[in-house]
Amino acid sequence: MTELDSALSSAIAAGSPGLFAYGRSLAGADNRKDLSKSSAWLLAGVQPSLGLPWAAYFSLLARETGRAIDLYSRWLEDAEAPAAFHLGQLCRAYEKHGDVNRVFESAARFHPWDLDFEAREVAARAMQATLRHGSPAAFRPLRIALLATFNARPLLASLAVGAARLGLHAVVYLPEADQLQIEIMNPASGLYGHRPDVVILATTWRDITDEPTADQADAWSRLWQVLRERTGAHLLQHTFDRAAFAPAGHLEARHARSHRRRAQELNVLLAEKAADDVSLVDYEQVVFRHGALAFCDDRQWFWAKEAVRSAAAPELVEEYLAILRPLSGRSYKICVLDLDNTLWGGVVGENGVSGLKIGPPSAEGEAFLGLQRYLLALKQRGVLLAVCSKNNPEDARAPFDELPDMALGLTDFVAFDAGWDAKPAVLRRLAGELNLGLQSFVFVDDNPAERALMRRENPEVLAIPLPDDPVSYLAAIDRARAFETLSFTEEDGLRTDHYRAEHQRKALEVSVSALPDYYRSLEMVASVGGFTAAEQTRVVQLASRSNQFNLTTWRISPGEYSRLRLDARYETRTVRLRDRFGDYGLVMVLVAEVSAIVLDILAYFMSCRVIGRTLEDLALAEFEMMAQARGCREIRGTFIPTKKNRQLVADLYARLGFDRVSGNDGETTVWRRHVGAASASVNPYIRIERPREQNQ
Amino acid sequence: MIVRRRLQQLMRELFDDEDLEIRDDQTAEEIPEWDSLAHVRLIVAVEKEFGVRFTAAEVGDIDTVGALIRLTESKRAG
Repeated sequence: MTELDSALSSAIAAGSPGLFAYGRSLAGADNRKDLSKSSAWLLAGVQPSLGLPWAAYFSLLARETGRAIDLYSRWLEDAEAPAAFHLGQLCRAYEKHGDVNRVFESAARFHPWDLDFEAREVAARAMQATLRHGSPAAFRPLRIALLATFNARPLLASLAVGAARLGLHAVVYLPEADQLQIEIMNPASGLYGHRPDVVILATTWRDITDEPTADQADAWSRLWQVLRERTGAHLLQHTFDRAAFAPAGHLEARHARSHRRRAQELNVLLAEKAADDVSLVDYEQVVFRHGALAFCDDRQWFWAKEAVRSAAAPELVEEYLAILRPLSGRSYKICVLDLDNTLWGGVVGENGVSGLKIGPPSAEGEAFLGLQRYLLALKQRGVLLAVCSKNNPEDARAPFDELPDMALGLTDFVAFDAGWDAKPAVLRRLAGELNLGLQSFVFVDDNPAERALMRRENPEVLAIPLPDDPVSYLAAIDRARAFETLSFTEEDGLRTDHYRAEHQRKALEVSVSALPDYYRSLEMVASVGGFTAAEQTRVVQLASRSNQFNLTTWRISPGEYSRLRLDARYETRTVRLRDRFGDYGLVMVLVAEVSAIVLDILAYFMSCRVIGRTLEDLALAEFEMMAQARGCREIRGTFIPTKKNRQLVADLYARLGFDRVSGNDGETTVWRRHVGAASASVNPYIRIERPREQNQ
Repeated sequence: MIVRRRLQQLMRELFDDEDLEIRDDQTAEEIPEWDSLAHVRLIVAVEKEFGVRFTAAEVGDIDTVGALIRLTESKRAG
């Protein structure tokens, strides 16, 4: 055996750490010949899950970038939770090739629970370097200001990588440490020059003073107000953690003036003061989960004032991302579940209902019951649940009807598909029936083959990797933070009922042949009014969720909402809809700006639940009324194409009788229509109520 | 020898300079990317790669690449 073979064999026997050390040592010696040979050997002689990515890495070290990219791409096709280390190297490889988009796409594959911070640093550096070749076209810029009372540099890499996962290009402003107050109070600071969409206020227990907690909470609230007035950005405020050491010993828990008690009081006060445009980042919880003793590396603190050690940075950033996800309209809306060995232990078609494990006495059964309870809690706060199972329909329904221990019932699902069709096709069908994009879907299935097929056929669907042991399913789903929302509204609890009622409507649609009869039979009533303070939460939520019927995809923030509501330059409408089957709540939002004789439509979006219900005509009539009331002679509308709205509304303005003024197909287009032109008549199918505006 | 080679590759990736050649007497000033912030990242990366841990005082004493290599080797041996 040659020297190369024996060194390589030992490395392989030692697994990934061995191969890593071996590769590094060859690379450091500039031994590209042996790196190349080893790469070929790994490809041929070791199982692909280990051999393929390491062969790619060795090729990269041997400066064979093209080959490295090929091998890594092959590896990625089948990798469920690709190792962060290799993703970082793939980012480097694409950076060398000048492929901006692929660098970001690779960074987007980092999994939230692979917390390798070093790999994130490598990826972030590649993302930064590649910008000299241009911007990543498919990633929307999000301007973030990170104001920390400590040196928050360790957070930057995780922020860049995590933002990519949300389809965002994070443009981050990080001033010198501990300049938080100055940056906020100085109207000419770099913070304001950065024009942030999001401002993160990263504080720690060291920022708690001896003053009364009520005064401290007021002080933070005043800083929020300054930011609110000057930026309209969404604010992320840390809750306060506690020092890991305890001068008062056990009395810290009890003494009213102890550090621990003051931190608790302050957090409660912050929660009370937080408004719609201020989200609390539960920093205290992150430190708790990670372990306070391990969270701050004392040496990193004393060398460089880094309160968050590098290894803990990814976890803290996951909390930021959990808020940025709904803020950027990327939250998932529906969870599709398998049945056998996912919601219960066993296979109902083989074991029969009595052979299934759900609830006591087995540990496995208890775990499945716990998972069902968790899913029920999700449903109650507005997440939709559906079933997709390879089973005969009667077998699939039987456990719900016959077993007393089930936490979920048939009425908790908006759709129940039991059959033998391939699951990716079933999800596409469900998406059509429920009027939801595939990118709103989460897929939970214990079978890795089903998950792999789903990833291949419907890559927009989030197929959550599940561990082998069912007792850990709940943690895996929870950790994905897929369903985060900025706030709760009363409509959340009713959402499942709305969707179920929709199926009744669809049944009606089939039986009523002519559309006008169908519309009339719905007995629709719309409640139309301008923006009020009370509607803010609902409008912001709809703005963040609405992707398909959305002409400009403006994610109206709470700060912007207030401005639109109060400034007489803007005309605003909210439309709530009910019909004889139920109340939809807020379904459409219209915003227009009056400039001299032109009414400029800034926002026009609608919930996908009410598409095809002639609300488009109602919107046009409203715009006409706004224009006439304000003395405008022309209505102008802009369409900004995205992947999600293109199909539905690219030709909407054309259909509504507007003429195109500028822009080509596939680009942003501007349209215009003269006020008083034909076909803006009253909608005969929807009765309109205009409640008197109270308490603006 | 191994530490030197692996450290060279580590620094090449950390400072994004594929052609970096390290020398024992090299100081931070000679490598443009190696500022005080990068110093912390370098130490943390070396600790992770070689499974060692430096005290604050030891880190303060590292003024050349050679010093880093020797310190790392002694930690690994010890």
